[in-house]
Amino acid sequence: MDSLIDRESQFEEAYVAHADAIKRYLLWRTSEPLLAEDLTSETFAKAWRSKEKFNGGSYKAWLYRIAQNLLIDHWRKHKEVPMCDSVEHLVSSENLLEDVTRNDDAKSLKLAVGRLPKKLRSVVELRFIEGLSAKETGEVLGLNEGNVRVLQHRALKKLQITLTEHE
Amino acid sequence: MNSNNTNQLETELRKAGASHDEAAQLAQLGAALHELPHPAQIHHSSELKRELARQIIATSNEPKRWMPWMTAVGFSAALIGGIFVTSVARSSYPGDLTYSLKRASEQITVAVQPAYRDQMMMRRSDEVRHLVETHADSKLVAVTIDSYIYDVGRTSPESYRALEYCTKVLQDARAKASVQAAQSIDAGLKAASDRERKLTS
Repeated sequence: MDSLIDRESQFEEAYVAHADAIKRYLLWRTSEPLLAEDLTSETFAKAWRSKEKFNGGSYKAWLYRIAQNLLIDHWRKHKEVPMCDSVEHLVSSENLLEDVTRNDDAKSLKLAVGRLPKKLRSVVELRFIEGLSAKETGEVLGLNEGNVRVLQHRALKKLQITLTEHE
Repeated sequence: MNSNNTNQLETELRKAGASHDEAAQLAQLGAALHELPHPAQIHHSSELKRELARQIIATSNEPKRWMPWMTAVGFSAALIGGIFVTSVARSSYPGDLTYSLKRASEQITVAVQPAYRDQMMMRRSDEVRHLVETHADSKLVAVTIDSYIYDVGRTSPESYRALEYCTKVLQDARAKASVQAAQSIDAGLKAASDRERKLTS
């Protein structure tokens, strides 16, 4: 059985390895750096407090799952419109952050992603934008790998149609 | 997405029923999605990340409070088997057990990007309103206003919109506040007003 010092050391290494990815995901979903930073800390705090509940599989996927649930809770508590439902914010010129939308193709693609149905959008965000494997994506969303493959196919086809229609 | 990942994606798409050509096209779209730029991110050094991880462990292990006294509920929670019992602080407020973590995150962010101080200031004003609306101890309001005044003192001429927002929120809070809390809020309103005058003179 790992000693507490070992566990703490492993947790530190996990933070070093995954914090940036989690924060990047939360920043993508919220476009709010302070909120993303807060939720990143809360994600890892929850992961530490719930460490007994982690029963194998991808630790990274587990962290993403916690992050996603925290984000949903946050929006529910604050009765905010989730970023994914206000896609125009993604391309807002008043965004304090780096202007990532100069490229029209990127802008179109981001808008198209934002307009996907919720489940397909989640698959796209985790699988392609965050770069998780199909297995990891499944672990985050509570799906098996086969489901993820079907959903990613459906999502990409839908995106392709949307982008073609808007050309 | 490197070529291995794109090939892997093509294989997955074919397994899901895509034709060879369709899979190739859709895999390219997947690669384009992977290349989408993200909002600019603040990166921390490995050493800072380790320190943050240690802070998280410390905050989670002990009922550290931002305020020096304990609420009855928090004290009871801390006593339950010595285990730190808390609901996840989605957006924690002064007096919450994980509020110190939130403030630590903010300090790190603003140290790297001072422009975010406006957002911190707005958060303080929102927190004051929340404290008033939930009838929290007026001492919590006072300490939060102190933090707010600190942030106000570091605003720039570009912060006028943020100051306007904060003033509106604090005025709203003041209308519902107790006598003691209202006195603290008045100090915050005065600080913002003085600062606006100074910045526009």
